[in-house]
Amino acid sequence: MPDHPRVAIVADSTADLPADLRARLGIAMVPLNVHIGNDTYRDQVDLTTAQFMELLRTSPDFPTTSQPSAGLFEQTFRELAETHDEAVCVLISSRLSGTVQSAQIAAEAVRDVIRVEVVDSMNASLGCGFQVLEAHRLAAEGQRAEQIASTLRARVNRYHVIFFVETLDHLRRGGRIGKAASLVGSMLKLKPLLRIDEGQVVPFERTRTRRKATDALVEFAENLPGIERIAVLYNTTPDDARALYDRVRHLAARASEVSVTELSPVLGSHVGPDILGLVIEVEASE
Amino acid sequence: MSPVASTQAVWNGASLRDAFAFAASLIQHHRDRINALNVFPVPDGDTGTNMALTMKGALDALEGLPLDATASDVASRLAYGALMGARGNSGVILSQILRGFANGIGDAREIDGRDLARALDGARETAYKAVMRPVEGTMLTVIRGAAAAAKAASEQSPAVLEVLSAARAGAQEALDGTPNQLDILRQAGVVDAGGQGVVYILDAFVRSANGDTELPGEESTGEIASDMAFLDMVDETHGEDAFGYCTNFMVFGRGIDAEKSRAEIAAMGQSAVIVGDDTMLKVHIHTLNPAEVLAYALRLGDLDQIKIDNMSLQTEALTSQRRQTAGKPAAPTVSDEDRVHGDLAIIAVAAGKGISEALYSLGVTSIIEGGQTMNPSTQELLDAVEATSARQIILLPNNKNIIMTANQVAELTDKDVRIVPTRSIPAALAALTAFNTDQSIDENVNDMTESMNDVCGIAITRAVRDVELNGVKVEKGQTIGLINDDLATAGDDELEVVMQTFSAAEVEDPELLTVFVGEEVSDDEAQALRSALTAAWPDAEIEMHSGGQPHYRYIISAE
Repeated sequence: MPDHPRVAIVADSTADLPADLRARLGIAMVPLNVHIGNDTYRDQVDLTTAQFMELLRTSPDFPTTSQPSAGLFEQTFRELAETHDEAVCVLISSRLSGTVQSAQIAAEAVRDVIRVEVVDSMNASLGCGFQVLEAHRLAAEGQRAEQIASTLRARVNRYHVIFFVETLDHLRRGGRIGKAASLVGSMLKLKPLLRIDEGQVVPFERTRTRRKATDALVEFAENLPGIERIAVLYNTTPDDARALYDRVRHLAARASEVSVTELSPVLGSHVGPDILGLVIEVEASE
Repeated sequence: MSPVASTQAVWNGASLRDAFAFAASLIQHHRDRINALNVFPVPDGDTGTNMALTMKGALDALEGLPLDATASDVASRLAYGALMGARGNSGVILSQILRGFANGIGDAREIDGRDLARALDGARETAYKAVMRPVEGTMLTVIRGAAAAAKAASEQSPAVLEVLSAARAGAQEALDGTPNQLDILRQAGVVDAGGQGVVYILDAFVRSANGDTELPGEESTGEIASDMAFLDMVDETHGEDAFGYCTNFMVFGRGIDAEKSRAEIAAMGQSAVIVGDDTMLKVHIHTLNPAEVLAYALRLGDLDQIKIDNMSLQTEALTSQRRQTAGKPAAPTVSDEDRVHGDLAIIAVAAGKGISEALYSLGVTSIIEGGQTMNPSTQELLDAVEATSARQIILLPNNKNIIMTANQVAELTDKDVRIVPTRSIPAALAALTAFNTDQSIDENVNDMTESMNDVCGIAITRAVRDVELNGVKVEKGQTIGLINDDLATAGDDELEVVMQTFSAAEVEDPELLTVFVGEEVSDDEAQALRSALTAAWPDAEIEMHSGGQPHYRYIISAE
């Protein structure tokens, strides 16, 4: 084995890393599935965010999602083994999806062929995506898969995801609402802010208008010390997303490879349309 | 007829009790006149009503006190009763006046003019301390005028009557000056309502000392004696389960065995309050047979001021009115206890089924009925605080006239009670939106207080009196618009008033309008309002709910 091991980086489709960026950095992607009626679509492969949002509006069926099969991971790992010595697979929170479990089964199955470190990002969207990019940087520095994985696992708290939804209907129907359940039941319309904390969606704040919800996102970022990178999440409102990015970009110490990104259909099916959010990476604490 | 006049040099407990009982009757008698002095033309908890109910609360606390109780005991009981029965800001200040009065009397068995002067000075001191930013031209000014005059008089003569007469004159002089101290009074051309109440109380004291305790002739009910105020009184005095006859009268005789008579009359019914001495008894009792009570009393002496109310009928009227206004009966679903957030409860004052539901849905644990028509007493707020299993409580008064009462509750319980000083329902909604079960009570109170003014609250109601205020001329019966509880506009066309109020509030580009439609508004009227709002702001989201609130046609939150 050479001094610099060839470490492959694997993400899933919910990391919300743009396809061209993945291609440029050589990051492999395993898609989750979206089911609408009798049709199954591979997230980000058969279905773009825009197409999905159109289906969400027009289809009488409510979309559901499912994790990638262990077989699909296994196939991906075997292909990567031909050109790499090891792999680090950084995935959506195990408290939101069974994706980590599929990957672990596959990693076990391919252990004679390639060493695969599966990292539970305890996060979602770019909150996971930023960790994928960090894994790529560490690999480029020549670190081994085991080191990269242990560094990432020690630093899961660096990543903050906060967003608001237009309605709680989707989260409620998708069954991923958890503690956010306390937000449901209001007789009045709410635009609640949610965040990902310890791998699950939790309520953060309640607001009643989009303007106040957006201000609350900015305020959250302004109160967070040591911001390294920042990016904006959206799924249907690109103008709002760019305007929000212009309000917060000065808070970050470094430019991010991703500044404004579309939320994947899988996550979109759980939060519904018109969401707006921030993903923030802060300095490592050590 | 009146008892033998005897000007008193010294008061014992019984004299103080009699004087106070007469003061309570006099305030009740002049209730509508005091209400008419209110400058604000909204159907709010009125000063006269609030003071009368607070006085009644004070008097009720004397029940069971022996007739030979000391002046000190009587004053302390009165202070306690007023504290628990305090309603509205005027009631709270009155309760503090009585507390200071009791402190000033100390443990004296009997009091002379010098003691009274000291008691009035104690009243002044405590009242000023009770108000965070004392304003002159109010009750405070009047009690100060009384205390200063009493002190000067007591240096000349220690007689009760002389000191009280001086106090009364000093109070009257201060009262007459209130329009020069407060612009709002000058504009409306009235003296301060609460101050007028203080003058009546001192008036009653003087006349009691003179042995002249006849109520003045027929009180004109004034232009605002509303049916509602009457119902409120029934509600307060007797509750919904009251039945039989509420019987009130006075007996004047000689050598009455007060203690024996008291016991024997009390045995004829419930809720007996019988005070007096060997020459006079004042009787209040709930009985199924008033004739029996009156026949007994006739053997003691001459009867006067007989007033008998059929509580069963009043209760029925009240209940049927309640039933009508409530619309459909409330579905018993979730109990208040189910709504407690761990160890934290949110208690709000509100009127109207729809508004209550909206508050519940945002996290309120229990609701105290009241607000616009009736200010709840300290006791009612305290009962709600004690009733919940939670030890931490956030209180939302939702009316500027309930904030002081709420503040008192915090001092009367071992529980951790915090006040988020909301003055309106829109402010309550904004505060509740900021509530977060994951936060500590400190963080929540902080966030809620910060957020409560994030919305513009508009209320549309009908003026209950003529007034000119903030440059707005209002005629009784006109539609008026309030912005965050301040009078802003008036007119005859309701929709026009709504739109004028929006423009006065400088609401330019609202994103969300939440409208609570009052119980008196028809569906067509509500639809017309929706159309007008949609036409004015096509981009705004408009949420309309049946609020079910009395008096207020619309309560609107704009943000």
